Amino acid sequence: MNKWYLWWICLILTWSAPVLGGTVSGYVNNAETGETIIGVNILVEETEMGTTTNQEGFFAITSVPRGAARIRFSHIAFRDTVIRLEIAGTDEFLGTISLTPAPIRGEAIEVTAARGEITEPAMDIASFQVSPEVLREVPQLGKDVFQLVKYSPGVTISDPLSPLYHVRGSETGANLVQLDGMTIYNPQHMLSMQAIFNPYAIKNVEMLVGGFDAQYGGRTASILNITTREGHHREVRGEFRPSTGGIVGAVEFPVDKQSTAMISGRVLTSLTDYVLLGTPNLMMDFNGAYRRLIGNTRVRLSLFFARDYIDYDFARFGIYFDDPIFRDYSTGFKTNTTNAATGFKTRSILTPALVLETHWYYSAFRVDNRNFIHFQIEENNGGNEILLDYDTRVINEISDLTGRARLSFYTFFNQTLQLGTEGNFYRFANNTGLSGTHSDRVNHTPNLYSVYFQDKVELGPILAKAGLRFSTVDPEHAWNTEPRVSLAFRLPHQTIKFAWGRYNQYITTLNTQDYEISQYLDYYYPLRSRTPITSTHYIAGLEGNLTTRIDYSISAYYKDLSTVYRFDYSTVLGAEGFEGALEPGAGEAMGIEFLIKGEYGPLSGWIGYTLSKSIRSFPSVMNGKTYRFDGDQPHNLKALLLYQITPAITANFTLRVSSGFPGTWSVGRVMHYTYKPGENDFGGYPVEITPAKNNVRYPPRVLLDAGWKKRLRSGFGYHLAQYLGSDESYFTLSVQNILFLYRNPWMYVYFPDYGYYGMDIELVPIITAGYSIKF
Amino acid sequence: MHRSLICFILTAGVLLVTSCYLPTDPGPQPSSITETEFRPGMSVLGILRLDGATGSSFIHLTRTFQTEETGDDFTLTVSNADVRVIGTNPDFLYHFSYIEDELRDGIYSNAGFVPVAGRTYHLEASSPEFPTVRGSTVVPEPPAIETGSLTITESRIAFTLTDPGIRTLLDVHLISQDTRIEKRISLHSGNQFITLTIPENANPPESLSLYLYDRNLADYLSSAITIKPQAYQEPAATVTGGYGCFGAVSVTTLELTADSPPE
Repeated sequence: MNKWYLWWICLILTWSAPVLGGTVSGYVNNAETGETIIGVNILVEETEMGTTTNQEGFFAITSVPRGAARIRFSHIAFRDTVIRLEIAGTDEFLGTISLTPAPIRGEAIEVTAARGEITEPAMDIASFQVSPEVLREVPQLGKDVFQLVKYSPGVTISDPLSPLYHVRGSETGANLVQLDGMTIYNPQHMLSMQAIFNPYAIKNVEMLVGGFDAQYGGRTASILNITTREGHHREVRGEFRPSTGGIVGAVEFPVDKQSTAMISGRVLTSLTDYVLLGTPNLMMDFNGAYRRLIGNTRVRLSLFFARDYIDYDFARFGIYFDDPIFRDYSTGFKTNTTNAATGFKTRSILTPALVLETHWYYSAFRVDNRNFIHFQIEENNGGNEILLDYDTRVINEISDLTGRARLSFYTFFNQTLQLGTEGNFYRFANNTGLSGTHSDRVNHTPNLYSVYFQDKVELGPILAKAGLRFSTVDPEHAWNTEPRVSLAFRLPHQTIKFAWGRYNQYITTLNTQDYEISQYLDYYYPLRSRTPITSTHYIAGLEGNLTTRIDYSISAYYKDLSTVYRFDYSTVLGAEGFEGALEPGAGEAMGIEFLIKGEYGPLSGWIGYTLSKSIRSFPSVMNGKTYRFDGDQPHNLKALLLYQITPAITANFTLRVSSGFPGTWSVGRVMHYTYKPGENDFGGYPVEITPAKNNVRYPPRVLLDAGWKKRLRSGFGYHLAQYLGSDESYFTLSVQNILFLYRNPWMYVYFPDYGYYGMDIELVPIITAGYSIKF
Repeated sequence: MHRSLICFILTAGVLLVTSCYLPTDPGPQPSSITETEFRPGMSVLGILRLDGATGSSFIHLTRTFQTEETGDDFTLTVSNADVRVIGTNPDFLYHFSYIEDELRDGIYSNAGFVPVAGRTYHLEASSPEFPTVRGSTVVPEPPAIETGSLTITESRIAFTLTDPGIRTLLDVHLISQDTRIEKRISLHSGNQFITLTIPENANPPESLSLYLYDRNLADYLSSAITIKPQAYQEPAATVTGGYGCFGAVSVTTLELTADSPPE
């Protein structure tokens, strides 16, 4: 570690606090439910000193002057609270400050619109925070976090059938998803593409798309932090939604005076597919959290489990139709996934200015994914047989045992010093197959060690963050350095931000998008003896207020992707196996993002536009020539708008207009042969000749959805809820894909004498009605 | 009905009508395609087969074609090529001639050709319209089962394959009166233990055939293709000047009778 940094740390630790006043710290929670509140504004009156509560609901204000002080706590959804203190020059821990909820018009809209006030606006160079209320207010999102993520600036997709997403021109595997600090691998359900987290359990969603602190390691593009509820500390509360598709439920309750718990779960299946199509299918997920206060230490136990299973085979239609096609043609897929995580976290207030956090968790994921298509057509005139025998199979397991510790010290100049360490103990297993041939199963057990230092300083209008992360895969290898720097200048109505940082990633994902019929999941593989994936970010941003209720932000970024990897499925079955199938390359990504968010009369939400570009080059692809990245969509316009029609009725609209996907237009076809040794015969299938990758841009994509939510005040639904002891019931209606006659081509198929036909998977509008009860 | 709902429905209707592609329309087409040149060429499937018979080897030739090519005159096979297979040690040239085969098009054959295990052969296929395709292969030794290792029970058959000397691919076919069980195995160096499961109620197996591929066919037959339109792929090829594969397969067939061994 740099000696200069060590000297600086020692100086600060030995010369602090009493010189300039004291540190005042504490937690803020909801007086009614006991949940900690994120984003509460805390201001020392008659000064310019203040801060906001963090993800744990914790705050610390340093250098509060000696003498009497009035500290005001304010949040849009709660009544202001003022506390009087006498600061004696020592640090003060206030314990937990409880805020009383305030009734507000159109709760979720107000919360959404005021987001600019209830984040920590100055420091996060590129973050996007959304109240989970938005998930509940916008029914066409299906209460799904990943549907919401797609409306975030900088996010693109490359396959409408896949839940995987790209952030600012990076690979899908470069995104980290954490649930209460636990890394979750493949956090989406198969096919439905929903997140595997019950939306009821979600308390906060924060997405960092660049400039993240040294505490975050192991990914180079984005961090999606999902925080779950802690549980109601006074009474039993929850939600229950039975339907023909399954059961969704959640309950939170006090265990005793010092502890609370929350349990939520979903079990979903399609009975239509099961009964009529003979397709077994199951999606389930389970969340549990237990929180306890032991003195000044908060302890949290988290549990998570998800399972997906589906087995589709076209041949099952044969029971309805007696047709020879079922002999000559078969297709289907079979997917089996298991996802689980459990974690134990502690947060101890050692002194009002010194906090120790520890976290141990185990996260594991397994998938067995098979896709197949087989057909044969005999030529009647004695010609050759058209034969396709295509059967892919990918098996991947990853388990991750992680231990972390972090010491945070709050000192003068509103400074936060953090020192942390992390150890990740992995186990990987990979296996692939193609048409009956399987690669060798490959096992790896790498360990990743990291140490980091992070400092945040506030000096008048200037906020500065500097961090350094050291990481290595096994101590025998060299340690890699990941510096991170952020700077913000707060002007009267604007904030100017800059950030620079280097990010390393020691796990790559195997991109099978061109080989599997659709890639729904990331497949993980360690880069144990190779150069880690490396990305250097340069970011500049400007944020400000257009009015008191409308904020804007402009953010420009450049990413030097000095090391990326591609996976060649066709070579993994050869002698070189997985190591030979992974090829290093390089790339770049750049863009500028515009975002307006806020409230104007009854209208609230956000509108964003991004102009971007992302390219790649690999030695074996077009001899190293650069080409458009798969997730490159230069123009992206996204809007999420809520309109309060009456206090009980909200309408909402979501719009996405984007450039089309890149694709590879072939110049012709050539026969690829299958040999049948028993008959000494063969068949062939015409495959495309593609000299240039991603040499075409599809037409623009337009997706418009709308929804309607009404709080019931009368009628059967209202009285049913009353009978069940609930005072809140809702009716929702959503229409997805309103512009279904506008074709969003996903691929083009050539028909003789017709030409190329643009295929769209969003063929029809989806109309969904729902009813829910909150208790 | 609430006024706002009426406005919403009307707006949605206008949007719907003004952005309409009927299902029979081709839909919006890509506006920018970076053109790359179509180059005519040949695709070859050349199999030198060592199976105890003469004339079982063949070379099959087709041409590349543009997607829009259609019509009554459309044909893929190349029937005017000069196809030569050159053996080494000693060097000998074998001409493969185009034959009119009722079952298969585009076949070049030499009725007297029998490949020799361990020998290298070179292919040269030339046609006035296309670049010359060249390739090389070494014929593998016929696969052998370790003496005494073959066991047959009602539910499975097992044996030890002796080291083929190369990392390659093996197809195993177990044939009975009413069933045919096929299994493809990636081989490592060294002897390898192989089992096949016999389905319940199947008739007793009558023959066991082993097909051992050379390196070229092993790579080609296990290569992935993509069936998704507009997806990038490098077509698998073990030849130069064109596409496809020139390889060799050696065959061993065991007749399994009532006296065949044993468990």
